[in-house]
Amino acid sequence: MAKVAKLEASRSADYFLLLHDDSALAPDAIERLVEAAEAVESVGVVGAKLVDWEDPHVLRDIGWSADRFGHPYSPLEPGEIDQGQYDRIREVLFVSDAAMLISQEAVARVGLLDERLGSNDEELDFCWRVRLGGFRVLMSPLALVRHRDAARMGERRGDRSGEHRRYFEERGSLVAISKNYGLGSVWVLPLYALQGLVKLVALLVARRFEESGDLVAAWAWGTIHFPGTALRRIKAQAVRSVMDREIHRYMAHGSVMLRKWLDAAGRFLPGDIDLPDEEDDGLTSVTPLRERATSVARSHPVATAWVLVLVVAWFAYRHFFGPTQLTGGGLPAILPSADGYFAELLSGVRTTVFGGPQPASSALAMMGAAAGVPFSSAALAEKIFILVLPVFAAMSMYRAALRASAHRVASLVAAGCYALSPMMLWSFSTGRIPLLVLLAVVPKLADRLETAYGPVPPARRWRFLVGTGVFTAVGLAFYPGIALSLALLFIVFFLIPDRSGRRLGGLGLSLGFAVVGALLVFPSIVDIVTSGGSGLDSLLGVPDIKGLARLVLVPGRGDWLVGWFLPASALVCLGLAGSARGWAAGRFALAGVAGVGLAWASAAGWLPAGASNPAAYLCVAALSYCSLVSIGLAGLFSERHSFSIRRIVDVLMLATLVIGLSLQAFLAMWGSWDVGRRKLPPAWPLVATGEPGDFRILWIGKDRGMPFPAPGGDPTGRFESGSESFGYSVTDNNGISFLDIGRTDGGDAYRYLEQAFSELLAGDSRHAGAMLGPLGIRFVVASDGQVSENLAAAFQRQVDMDLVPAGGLVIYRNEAAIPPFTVASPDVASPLAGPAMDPGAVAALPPISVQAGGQVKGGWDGRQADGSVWVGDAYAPGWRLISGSSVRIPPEKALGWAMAFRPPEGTGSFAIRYTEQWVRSAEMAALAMLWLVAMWVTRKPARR
Amino acid sequence: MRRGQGFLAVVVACVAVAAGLSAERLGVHAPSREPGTHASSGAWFCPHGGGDGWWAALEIANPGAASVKVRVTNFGPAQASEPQILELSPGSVRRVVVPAGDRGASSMVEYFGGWVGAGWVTRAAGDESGVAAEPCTDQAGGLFYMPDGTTEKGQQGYIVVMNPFGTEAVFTLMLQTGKEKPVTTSELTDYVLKPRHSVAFHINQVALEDTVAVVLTTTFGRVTAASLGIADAGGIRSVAGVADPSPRWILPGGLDTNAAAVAVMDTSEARAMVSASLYTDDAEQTAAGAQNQGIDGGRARTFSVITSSPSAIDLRADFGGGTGGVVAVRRTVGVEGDQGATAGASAPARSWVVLPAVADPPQDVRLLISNPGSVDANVKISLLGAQGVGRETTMIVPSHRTELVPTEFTNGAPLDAMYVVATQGAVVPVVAAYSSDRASYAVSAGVPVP
Repeated sequence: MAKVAKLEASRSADYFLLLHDDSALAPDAIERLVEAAEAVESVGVVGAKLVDWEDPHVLRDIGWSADRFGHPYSPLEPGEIDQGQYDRIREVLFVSDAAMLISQEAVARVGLLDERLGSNDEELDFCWRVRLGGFRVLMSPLALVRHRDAARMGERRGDRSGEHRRYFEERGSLVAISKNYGLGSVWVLPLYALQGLVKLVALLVARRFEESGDLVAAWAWGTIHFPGTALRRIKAQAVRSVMDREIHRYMAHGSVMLRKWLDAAGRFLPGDIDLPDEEDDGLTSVTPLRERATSVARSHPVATAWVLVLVVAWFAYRHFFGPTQLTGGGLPAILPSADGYFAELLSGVRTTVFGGPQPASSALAMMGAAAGVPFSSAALAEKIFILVLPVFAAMSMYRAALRASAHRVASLVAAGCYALSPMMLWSFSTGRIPLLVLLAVVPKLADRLETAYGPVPPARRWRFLVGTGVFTAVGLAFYPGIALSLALLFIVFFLIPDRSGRRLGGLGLSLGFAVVGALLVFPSIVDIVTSGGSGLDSLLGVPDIKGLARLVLVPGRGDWLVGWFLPASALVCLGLAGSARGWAAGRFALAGVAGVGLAWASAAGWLPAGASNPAAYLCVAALSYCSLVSIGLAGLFSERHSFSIRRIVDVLMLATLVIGLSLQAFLAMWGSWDVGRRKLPPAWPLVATGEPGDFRILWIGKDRGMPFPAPGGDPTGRFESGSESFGYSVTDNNGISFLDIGRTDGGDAYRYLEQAFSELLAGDSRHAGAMLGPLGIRFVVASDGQVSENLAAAFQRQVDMDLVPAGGLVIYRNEAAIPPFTVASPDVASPLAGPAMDPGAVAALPPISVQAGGQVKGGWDGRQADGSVWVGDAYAPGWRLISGSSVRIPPEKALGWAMAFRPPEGTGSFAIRYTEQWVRSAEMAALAMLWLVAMWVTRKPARR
Repeated sequence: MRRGQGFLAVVVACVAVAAGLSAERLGVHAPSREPGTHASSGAWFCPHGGGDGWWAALEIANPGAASVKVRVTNFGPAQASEPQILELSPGSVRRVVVPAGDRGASSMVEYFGGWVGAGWVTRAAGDESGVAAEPCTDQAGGLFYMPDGTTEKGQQGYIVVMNPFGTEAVFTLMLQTGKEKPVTTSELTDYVLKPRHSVAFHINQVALEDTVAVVLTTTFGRVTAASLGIADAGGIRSVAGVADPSPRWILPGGLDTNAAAVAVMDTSEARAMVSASLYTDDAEQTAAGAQNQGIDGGRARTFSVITSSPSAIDLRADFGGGTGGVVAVRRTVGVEGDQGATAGASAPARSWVVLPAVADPPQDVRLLISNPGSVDANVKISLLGAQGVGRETTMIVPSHRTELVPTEFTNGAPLDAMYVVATQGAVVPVVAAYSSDRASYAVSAGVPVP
């Protein structure tokens, strides 16, 4: 255009017309444009009404607005028909340059279009500058232009701009806001940066890699061209004659943008599921008001659901707003920065509790990534996880239900039931991120199993396998017990596939994605397999069959009797399922009954270790209940009936659902949660800060399946002795750690612990403290009422354990604890270095005054006095005691679980280091490659 | 509702209900693991006290068939001592001399891999004289009763409190003199005793009465306590505090002046009617002076009882159909004025270790065995010496009788412990010992073997 503007003829022209070569003007279009420009005072730009090249009834462009960050917004719906609804001359923020009339006066004042930009992204900046210069930007509907939009359609050879729409959109936005905002609106820039980061993360999470690349490329362009942008800004601001607030009038209002986001979410939810026509779903109402409300809900069920979600979430999440770090419930201790998560992931040895060569879960990479760039805070990332996961779970349930029932409204109700189920509410209330991940991933896997066992195999088999494998891997990383949920789903889908389903094909696909999922977390899988499956089980879950039947894993938030609404509705819905969905209903009925039964059998201790996980099975039951609800409602909504018994049942069931959901929603909105600000027991500081140095805490509780008080987490083992049994877990001195998420707790150290505690319970020893001492256990902690009389008497008898008075907790202090990460070389280290696992022999040792060794990154440093060196960390053969260049001594197994080194006399200063780090490094490199491949295979195409 | 689906729903409901009922009936899986029992260990607490120039020793006996590791730690107002470690071979007894230079001296005996019995012997020095002996106690907790706290003229009463544990203890001493209200002072209230320390309180500074029973209650931590009595005219005695009151106490004794003062405290809130029987070597008779005596709840009284030698006072408290307990101690005087005291036992048992009660041989040591039961007891007695099990003897103790073991059995082995096993019936043994000049006298009950 710059060339054209220099022509002699151009100098005398009143207007310039910018026209793309894939646009065709109506015969009177120019006349109409000029008319509009002349009719109104101070017009700088006039745009035309663009219609589709092929079908002129379809509107393509009627002028644009933008949000405060310069992202364009069009009021047009995709494929919107021109019915004259926009046929009036309107002032807009900017118009398409496919057909744009520009006044000579405006060009003279604000200059030409930014020559660095192109036809894809230059209009916003130019029109904005025109407005800054005091001109109007109009859209004239009388000027009709057909537009092919060849670039977007990919019809221009060598032009791939249509594939990088986000790049141009972002570049145009960046240039426009950088140049045209006044200094009073400078606050937009940090917000722009923040929303950009969130958008980038969202795109990466959604595996839209091309688009995230476009985003980064646009920012890179903006950075490189910043000097030019700054110069142009000076020019743009030099002609400013209106304030920013004048421009804001033409920008999209927040509510409009909210609708846009909801629509986007609505598009995201159904995904690629093809739904049958829902024109007649039988929803009729008796009053006009209800009819109208129902009509709106029916027309926009997803948007309606989102509004409800926002309302409930606003109230339910109100305790989480603000900068305070969450504590309490089942929240693990988090690291202050992202580095620690990656360090643990890459470390050859575990740095928490009893150490050992156990690998960290891949979940740490996700937490580290979240705690890094997007949120810059692990606490915020943790909060976001807790807030977002229930929504993800509901979305994933919606998709699964939609696949099973093919009915949107029914599926939305099912998603609501799932999100407000007692198990979900309790998991959310206690901040149990692994359980929330389980609840979010299981419906997704069920959805994929529906596809796998469906009549038509997935079109892109590898993408299906890898994509589902990724979800499986995420579930396994956070909650390895999800393998049991998956196994149960495998069995029911194999036993009862759809009537026209493919049993063997489905089995092959499901095994395929299970293998892919296992590969993506292979270090953890190897650990689980070698430990006999101990990582799959969980002791969390109370063996109360009535509670479990209404999805109450542990008494707490949402465990009230109202919870019966879901199993009752599911049962009725089983009866209401139409013939088309009968097989699916039968399948979910089996899964529901089996899920509850297995959950109870796990909680009651009837299942073998490795297959015992109440939460994993109960999650399948929750999924099954909700799927049955969706199937039953779909049947109910799809059929018309005259008044009959069936009608009464329908009404009763609907009433049950509505009342149950409403009350659960009320509970969620008005209740308080177990996690929040200062939710740790008042007595906790006595433990956490009452002792200097490192130590470990043994948490115990007599009630089967109950979690420990915060921050003790969940039981990981059971002490069983005679008629008594106690759940237990061991944590470091700050309670459970996020670093241990998805990890198993087991091994020889725990066997020693169980043996020592058994001696305490037997009552024949008064030196349990000394027996627990080598484990570094300084405190034994329980909730009030969780120590039986017998155990309290046993503790009372101990010479080396003292009851510490504390409100809300029962705390026993172990005077004989040896610091866990200590290198000691007194005489007592030699007896400790014996290989036998004999707590009784340890009890007979004199009080051990240890010389605290220096724990350094990657090991310990010490100085040998005499005898052997004791390290109270789980045995791993890769450790070496290194002194000088000649002494490299491997560890011996001490007390059956720990390590002892016997350096030669006169060794002096030494270091203990892990020498097999390369194994973990290789594993992680392989894992990273596998994830990159999986991400690439499952990437989503860029939107056009 | 389609008939097939409806039928399926009904079937599922029935199956679910039946399964639920079965689950409730089945219950949870019972623990299957047997409790561990091979890490046997224990501890004896010995608040023996002491004084300027006093001598004290712990007598430790291992009646078992395996050697036992023992660790002895001593406490006082200053830092605890380094532990002394020794190993007791089967059937042996070992004397460990411990510091006793402070009134609040105490010791702890920890044992591993078996069971040992432990007791203390103290010998006064300087202006004070006499010998006291008492079994150590394995009780540590928050409530102790010490009925033998007389502070009448010529008697000095002390309470020795030890805290061998890792956290400090806060406790209060309350003196029950038999008058209306219990007595305490600010010095005896909420006293903070540091970890691994012990201390003595002179209760004459609070009350001067013939009957002073002391109640120790902790508000934080655990302690163990004993009373130490010192007669101005010579003679000492000590009795470990009692944590478990009982409605019955069997208090054997002998070789004394055939008179005993029985101090009793009713630890309950109800009024106790106390009566006592006397089991001598030839008769069962009522104990004159202790028949149908009433003690108000929470109060203490001292009864003078005419005894004979040997004899056992079988004291029973009746709470009028209610429940309650008393603590009691039998205080006696040796022929030359030294004192002795024992809390006896609340119940007879089949197996006992009786520890030496002498400070310096040669001594006249006599074992008395009382049978408060209704069947005759067949008793086997073995000497446990430094080198192991020594001579053995057997005897029959008739029902409701107290017998002296023939002097020939203990002659020449004053420092040996005695292992008393009743192959039939159950008994309560005590040892009474005189120094060769009869100036020192001590009486000490046996320790029941678990």
